[in-house]
Amino acid sequence: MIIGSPEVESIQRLAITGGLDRLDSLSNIGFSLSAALELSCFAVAWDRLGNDDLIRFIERWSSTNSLLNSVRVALAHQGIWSVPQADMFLAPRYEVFPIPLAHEWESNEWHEFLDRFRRSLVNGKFGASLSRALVHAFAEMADNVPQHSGRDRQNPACGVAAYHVEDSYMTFSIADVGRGVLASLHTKPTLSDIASDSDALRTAILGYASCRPNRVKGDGFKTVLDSLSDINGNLRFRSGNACLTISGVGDTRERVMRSVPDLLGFQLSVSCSLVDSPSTKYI
Amino acid sequence: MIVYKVGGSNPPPLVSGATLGQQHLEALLEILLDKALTYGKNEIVPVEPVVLSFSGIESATASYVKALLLPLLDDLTDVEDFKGKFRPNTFVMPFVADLTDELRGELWLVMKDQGSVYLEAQDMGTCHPISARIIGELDGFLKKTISIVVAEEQCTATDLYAKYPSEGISTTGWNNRLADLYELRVIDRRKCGRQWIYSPVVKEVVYG
Repeated sequence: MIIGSPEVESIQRLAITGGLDRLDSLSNIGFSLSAALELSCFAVAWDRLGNDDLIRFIERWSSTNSLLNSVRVALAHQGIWSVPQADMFLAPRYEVFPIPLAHEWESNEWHEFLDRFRRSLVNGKFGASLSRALVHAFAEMADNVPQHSGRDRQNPACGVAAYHVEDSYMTFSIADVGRGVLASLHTKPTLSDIASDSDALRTAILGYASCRPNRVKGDGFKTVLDSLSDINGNLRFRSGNACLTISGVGDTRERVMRSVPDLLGFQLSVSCSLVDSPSTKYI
Repeated sequence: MIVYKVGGSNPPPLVSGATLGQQHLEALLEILLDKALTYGKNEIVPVEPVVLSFSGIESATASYVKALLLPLLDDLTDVEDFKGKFRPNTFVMPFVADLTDELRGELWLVMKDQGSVYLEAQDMGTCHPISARIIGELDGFLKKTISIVVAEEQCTATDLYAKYPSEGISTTGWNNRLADLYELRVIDRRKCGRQWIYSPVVKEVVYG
């Protein structure tokens, strides 16, 4: 059984309504990358509230699912570099990495991780130029964590960056358990009238708004959308109680904003396919 | 001349994000601050060419480029984390060097978007870049003015008014153009009495 991000919303609803027992029948399930990150963020949030009901399910699932287990470990050991490091010359199919703190951003470990992603993309038939563009997009999105998730650059929230590459398919996902997009935009006086999580996502992602004091527009989301301009893409952005999905190619992409169960921080995933609609395959 | 190797001796080939750009900027500002502190409190810290070498870096994102390069075009006393450390109106004369085509293209887009320009050192010379390419868009009037400054070697707005009457530009007009080029950090100036004397920062300028 494969669990994708929408199914994680269902699990959240079950948790909120006290129906987690219905999950007892689920075992040996496979998780898509973004689902593993979102579910782990929810578990962290739930745990912070003193409710560890979900943890027993995640522990059970992660015992048979190395991807979910890696996310769990990475989120639990933020900033300590305790996640087993892959050989710097490998091109793994998937990898999960704790997002560095601001002062660790120059570390070799982080740049070797990015380079392994690039090599994996090249091996996955994405070509040198597109692979570089996707790695730039991935790093830009990861950069949102030290830049925006905490009250300042030196105090970011816990965050995880991960990728998964198959032949002609790829996905990357970034998740943090920080203050979320709305609170981040509210730090800028001119954006303080944004009233909802959905408006915040719209303003930041579609309007490229920047919460830096001397900038009107940011570049991160533009870099992501530009990198995917010619290929089939599925993008999912989630913060607070809003979720924006963008799918398709170039200017014809369909944008859908939905209400989802509340989740602290900001979670995003970008999937794309060179051969078919990315929705035909969850990775 | 200060030559700063961006990212150190073994930089990552791809550089992305404002956080990394800010870190590379801070490392450079520490060097500049150390240099500034060698001058006495009442001495004027001379404007110095600072060449940022991107050797080893293949490509960069706009966020990175903006975080690293744009603060160098402004008064350094405004740079976050360095506020109050530099003296008021501390400027440098920044150059970039050793750009790949991809990096130059990204830098050009950023500069166009910002309405600004950057100088790419072409011939580094021994203590000062000798020739430079302008990355970004300059309007025709400013292009012409910079060519004149390069040819004149040093000039005031009054000099240019007297020497180029056929241009039909007033002293104030020349003054505005020269001041604009200085704000863009593509020419230098020093005060002499009530006038600014402008001079080129390189002996040859090319565009595109």
